[in-house]
Order: sequence, then C-alpha cells, then structure tokens
Amino acid sequence: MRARLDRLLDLLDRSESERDAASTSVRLPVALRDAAALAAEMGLTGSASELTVTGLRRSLEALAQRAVLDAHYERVPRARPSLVELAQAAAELDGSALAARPDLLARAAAAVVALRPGADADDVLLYAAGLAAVA
Amino acid sequence: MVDVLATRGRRGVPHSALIVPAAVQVEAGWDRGAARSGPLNRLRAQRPGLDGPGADRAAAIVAALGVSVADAHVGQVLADIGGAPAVLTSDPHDMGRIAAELGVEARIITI
Repeated sequence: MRARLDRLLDLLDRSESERDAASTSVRLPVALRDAAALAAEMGLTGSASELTVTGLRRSLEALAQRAVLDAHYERVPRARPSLVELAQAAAELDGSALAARPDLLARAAAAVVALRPGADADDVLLYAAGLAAVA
Repeated sequence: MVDVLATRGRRGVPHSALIVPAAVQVEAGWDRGAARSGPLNRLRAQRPGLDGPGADRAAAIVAALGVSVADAHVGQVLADIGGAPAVLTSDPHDMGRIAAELGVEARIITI
C-alpha cells in the first residue's frame, strides 16, 4: 500500500509540470459533456479537456491527502487527533462560536460517536450546534 | 486542521484546500528536495506561484503595509481565492492588517 501511495504521489507531482498528454477515452454522461462544451463556449472555463484534467487532479489530490494522513496515523498512532480535537479545529477553521465551547464539543463528540462510529468533525459540530440551540 | 481539510476535501466540500503560497514556502525554508521535507511534501498542499498581476498586487501590499513578501503573497492569495478563508499564522497582527487592507473576510488563526 505504501509503495502504491508513493507512486500515486509521484505521478501527481509529475502531472503538475508534465507537458506530455495522452488521448484517453472516457465515458461521460452526454449532458455533462455538452454542459462542459457549452461552459467553454460561454468563456466560463477553458476547454472541456482542461476542465476534466482540473477536476480529476483535484479529486485525486483530495483522495491522496486523506490516504497520506491515514497511512501516517497507522505508522504513528499517537499522531491521530481525537474526534474532539478535530471538532475544535473544524470550529476554528469555520470561525464558529463553538470554538469557544470545548465542553460542548466534548459532549457532542461523545454522543455522536455512540450514534455513529465513523463520525467526523462536521458531525460533531452539527450535534454541538443542536446542543447549543436547545441550551 | 489538515485532517479536517483532508476529510472535507475527500467529501468534495468546496474551498477545503490546503494552500501554501510559494513565498511562504521559501521563507519557511521548505525545500521539497530535502529528505526531511518528505512528510510535508506528502500533504499535497497547493503552492500558488507569484508572478504577473499577482506579483503586482503583492508589491502594492508591501508598499502599503510594509509587510514581508511572504505575508504579501498570502494577501494576494486571499484576494484571489475570495470567500472566507482561514489563515494559520504566527503573526495575527500583520495578517489582520492585510485582510483589512484588502477587505477580505479572513479568519485569522494563531498557531
């Protein structure tokens, strides 16, 4: 897995500067293809190819970033932030008033994780906002 | 915070990218070719460059506020991306001045 992730990152790095391009057949919904072509005609974006490349790169970068962090946590488990810490960070990033309520975030995290084991920071923020609203 | 961005990015939440303007990279001594940079390189930060109109805007910020090139590049990126971005900084005072100068609604987070 590590080797394949390294290869993925290497390919993404190379794609930033590589000029070579290959023709590839991609099956797109017809309406989506036509929408891309129309957006290009309207000057809203570059070519449909450009749009596809940008979208594909963005998606792969997002997947790779998540995979890199998960691989890091596997190697160094103590580096994995708790759900409360993640919720705190999310609140600060969002400029949410909940950032000043660590007690509420801790309560929300405990409640949410019992309801949904795979919960993430945004689930906690939503729950905490609900707690704040009824308090 | 990077973890939150990564989770949101994977979900396709807009504007959830980690951005390190090129001048900040240089000022921080982040040499991507150095072995010690490996973990940082893997975080997939976007590294917008500084040239053309962007450089002009950054130069105007330096002229107006006397901040560093790196800070001015952050300002240029803030103005460019729009929305309400969050800025992680050890210098909230200067970042606040830059955001105010540009009329950008940025959340300044001190690290």
